[in-house]
Amino acid sequence: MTIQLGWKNIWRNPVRSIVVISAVVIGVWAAIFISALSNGLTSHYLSSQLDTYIGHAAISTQAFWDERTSEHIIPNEQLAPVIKALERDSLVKSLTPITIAEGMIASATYSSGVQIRGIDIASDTTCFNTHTFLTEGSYLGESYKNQIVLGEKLAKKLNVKLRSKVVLTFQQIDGSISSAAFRVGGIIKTPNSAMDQMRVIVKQTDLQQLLGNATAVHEWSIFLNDAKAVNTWIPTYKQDLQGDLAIESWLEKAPELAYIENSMDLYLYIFMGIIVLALVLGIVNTMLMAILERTRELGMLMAIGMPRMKVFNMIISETITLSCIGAPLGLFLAWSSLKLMGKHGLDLSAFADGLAAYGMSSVVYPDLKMEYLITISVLIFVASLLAALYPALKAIKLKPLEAIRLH
Amino acid sequence: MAIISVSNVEKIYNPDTIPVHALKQVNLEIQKGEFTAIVGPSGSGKTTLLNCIGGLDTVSSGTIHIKNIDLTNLTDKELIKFRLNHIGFVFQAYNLIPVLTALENVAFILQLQGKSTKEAHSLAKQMLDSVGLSERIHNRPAQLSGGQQQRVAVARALASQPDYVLADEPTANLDSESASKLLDIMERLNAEQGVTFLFSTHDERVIRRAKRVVTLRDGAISSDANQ
Ligand SMILES: Nc1ncnc2c1ncn2[C@@H]1O[C@H](COP(=O)(O)OP(=O)(O)OP(=O)(O)O)[C@@H](O)[C@H]1O
Ligand SMILES: [Mg+2]
Repeated sequence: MTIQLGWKNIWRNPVRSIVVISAVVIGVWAAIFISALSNGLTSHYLSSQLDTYIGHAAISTQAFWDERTSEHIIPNEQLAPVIKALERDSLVKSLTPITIAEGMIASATYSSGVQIRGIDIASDTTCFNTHTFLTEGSYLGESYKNQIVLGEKLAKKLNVKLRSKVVLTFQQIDGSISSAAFRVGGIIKTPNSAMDQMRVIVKQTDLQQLLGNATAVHEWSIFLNDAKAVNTWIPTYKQDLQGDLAIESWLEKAPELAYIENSMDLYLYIFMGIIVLALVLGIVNTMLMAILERTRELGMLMAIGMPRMKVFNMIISETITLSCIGAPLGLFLAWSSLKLMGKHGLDLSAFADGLAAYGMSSVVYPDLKMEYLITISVLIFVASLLAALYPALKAIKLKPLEAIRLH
Repeated sequence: MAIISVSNVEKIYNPDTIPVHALKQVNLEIQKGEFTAIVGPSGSGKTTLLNCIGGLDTVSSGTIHIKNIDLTNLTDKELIKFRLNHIGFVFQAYNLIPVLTALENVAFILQLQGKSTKEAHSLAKQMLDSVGLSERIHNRPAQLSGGQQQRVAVARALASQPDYVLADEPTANLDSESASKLLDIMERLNAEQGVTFLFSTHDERVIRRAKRVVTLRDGAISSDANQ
């Protein structure tokens, strides 16, 4: 009976009720949509960083990681059984050996420090997706020796084109400095333009020859089927590796990425908190107004014998009804707009150049975590309960006589 | 035995700041079936007395017994329950719940008393019949005239089968025709069903129709006469 009366009371001022319902709808929608979108952004960013530059895990000598000099090559015989084990591991998707030298790249007009990465094309392309960002030429597919793939920005700075000559200078494994001429075979443009200026790609065999060691490998990059599984996967290998050999997950190699994920969670919760707070204040305010308008009537109800508990329930039910209408609507709206966006993605190409500097590509797909959906639903429900409480308490504190006497 | 007995009641508003002595040594007995008007100049204490008898306000001293229950001893919660089951109220204005129809307004109090919706609605219908509103039971208050609204209020006050009905200036907002119609109905219910009415009024024509007139002056009873 009190719920029925509450329901009727809601429609005595439809505009106000619709305002409250819309506030709930917009709050729920915004909380869900924005969390899905920023989740999409982070996981998108994360996977593009891992797929293009970092990999999921890497094995190297500790000395190489500490000093980054090419003399610290991996002892191949010692690692061989581990590589065998990795190749048999069902959690591992692919792996590739990389030969690395730090050095200089120079053209007639410009020179710059770079990391020279000698890759094994066959296995590299099953691991990294760098080759998909080729804009000109081929990805080390020419027939001549000493071909090099450069980032677009770097090529521009060096003022070189396809087939131009550049000179790489680096330290050989025995410590002596060596220089070699390379010809530009391909130009790439990866999402992270900063990274494109810091590394160049050559054939592993070419680099090994120039380093003076035909089997020199500095790092094995490993890709798993699921990047997030790395923490549970890695410990056995950590134990198995002997001597100076070490394995690191992407979380260790790029702690800033793990930090982004964690801090995004925190931001999202803060963001949701703000939305919920705004919602609560809006509901409290509106319901207080509704009660103020009805002071005399509420006084009359208590005067003729309506128990305070029932008055309390009536007000609570009014508020909860409003959020119970608004919340599913908001959920539905969020679901359909996410569905729509999931199909086409959110095209950020208008900002693509700006984003590229931060290593993002331009189409983002929202990614809704179940955890957030549940949190948001529970939060909104609890919040509307809390928002109902204050006006209801206010209402039952009314003294019937004073309420009736008001003119 | 009297339904209402008021003994030595004093009411002082704001005793600590600016005290107003609103009721002074009031003694009053109302028997079952009486039709009593409380009259007196503005500020003489009519509303105050009715509020005290209605359990809406507390007395400063003295006692108010309804049958053998001392109202001055009841807690706030007990008073609400007492009002629901023993007293019918008709206020000067703002009497009905605007979102409910006439029928639902009357049924509401019966549902508060714990009756089922069905039972409440059929009783409410009977009550609205007896105040001559059987045609308007599905109208909301806003669709009824002031006089009709007060008749719905009387129907509601009676529906709960109270020991007595209190009405503070029930005709003050009505034109004389509606007022006299309301009085007709109250008189008939008093005569046919023995309902006890206690009402305050300024209106000479209403006073003339009361069977007993209690006059207040400065918070004290100055005369009490049957007519
Ligand atoms: N809540 C209150 N606080 C202080 N004084 C009050 C209060 N209510 C009434 N009074 C005072 O008590 C006295 C009696 O008031 P009451 O309302 O009972 O008179 P009344 O006979 O009903 O008057 P009226 O015919 O104008 O309705 C008046 O002097 C009034 O000012
Ligand atoms: Mg008065």
